[in-house]
Amino acid sequence: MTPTIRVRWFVGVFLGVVMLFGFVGFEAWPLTAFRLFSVARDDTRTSWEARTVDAAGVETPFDQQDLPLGYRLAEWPLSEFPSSSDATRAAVCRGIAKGARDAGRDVAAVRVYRLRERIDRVDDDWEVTTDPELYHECEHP
Amino acid sequence: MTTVGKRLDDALFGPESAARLWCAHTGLAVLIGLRVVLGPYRQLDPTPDGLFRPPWFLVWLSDMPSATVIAAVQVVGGLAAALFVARRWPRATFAVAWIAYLLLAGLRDARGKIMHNDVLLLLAAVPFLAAPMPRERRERAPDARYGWPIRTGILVVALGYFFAGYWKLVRSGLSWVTSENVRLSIAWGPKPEVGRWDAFADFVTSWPVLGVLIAAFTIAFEISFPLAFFWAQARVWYAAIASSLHVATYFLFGLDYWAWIGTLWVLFIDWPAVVVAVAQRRVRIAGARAPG
Repeated sequence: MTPTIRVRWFVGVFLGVVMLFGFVGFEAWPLTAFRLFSVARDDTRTSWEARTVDAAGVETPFDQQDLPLGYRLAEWPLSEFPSSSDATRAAVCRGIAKGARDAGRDVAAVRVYRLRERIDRVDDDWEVTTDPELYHECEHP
Repeated sequence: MTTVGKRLDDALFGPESAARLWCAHTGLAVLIGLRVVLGPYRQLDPTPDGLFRPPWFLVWLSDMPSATVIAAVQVVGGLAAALFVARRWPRATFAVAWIAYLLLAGLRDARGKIMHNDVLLLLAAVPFLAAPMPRERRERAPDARYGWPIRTGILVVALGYFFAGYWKLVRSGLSWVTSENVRLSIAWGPKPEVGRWDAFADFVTSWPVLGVLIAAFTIAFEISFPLAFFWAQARVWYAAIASSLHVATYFLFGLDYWAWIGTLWVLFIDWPAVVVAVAQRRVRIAGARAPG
């Protein structure tokens, strides 16, 4: 017995949606375009970093890698800051401040830096040079 | 129907055995159950509101659910997968396990970065939500009723790899291969930082030509992946090479793609046929060794 018309429609529509997302580049997770490592890397890149500032004005890197899983991808919302609204920026800063306070830090402000980085091969080793630029500051987050 | 259309129709709706469908369905349920139970989802609590970016089907959540709620979903999903393997209410239990997996993986994705770790298994399992449930699980005769879920799953996997190569060419062109792209990607290392095998990374980045060769091989492999859909004998090679690439990216970038590896081996191999072939070979060897 061959598959019914309903089965053929189901398969056709499902594969059509998978191909539409793949060819056009839509993203609506779990439907995806599968853009894995698709942008060629070179010797420069732009990264984003949050630093907390305590009441004495001392800056400390946020270091999300040492915090719970929910904080570890914090760089991605930061990288959207150029197109984010003030409300979104404030919400991201509050989230970062919460993570730092939960880790026992005093937080009077959160500073967001745009890092322009360059990598070079020096004596059989890779060296990264970083040029940080203060992009945004949230006071009393 | 045109010749191309007929070939595609045959490839997609051709027959497979009830035994193979039973085995593939069980394998996917086991993978889903393992991902649901073993995933680090409870550690997503706490995720502060400002860093919570749910996918479209979870926008009704105002914040990340508590670890207790996440654990409850894990228990329900794990139990459902186990019940499916025992073929208790199979239609419903497979769907519940899949939905639990979708919710949990969706929460993992809700941190602002598109996570691909679970999408291949989730998408390849979709046809099995509506697949027939054969009672004769040892029946090895091909039957047109049982082929389409397996073959649709295989095509989804093939398309996933194909699009990975397609977007490399669309976004970067041939410079993805000819530049220092792969070498520098490895030199930059994983982002966010995770543990990796530094000695392996140092070895690969020591030879500029090695990066170009890896890039050329990767793109050719990904773009040619749909061949595995039409050419059954090639599937084992595609599964083996893809698995090797995933293991390498685990060592170089700390990326966990074992769900992709599992999906490949569950769908690409006709395991009941392998078991029979191995048994027949043992009988032949035993017969050859028998005296007289």
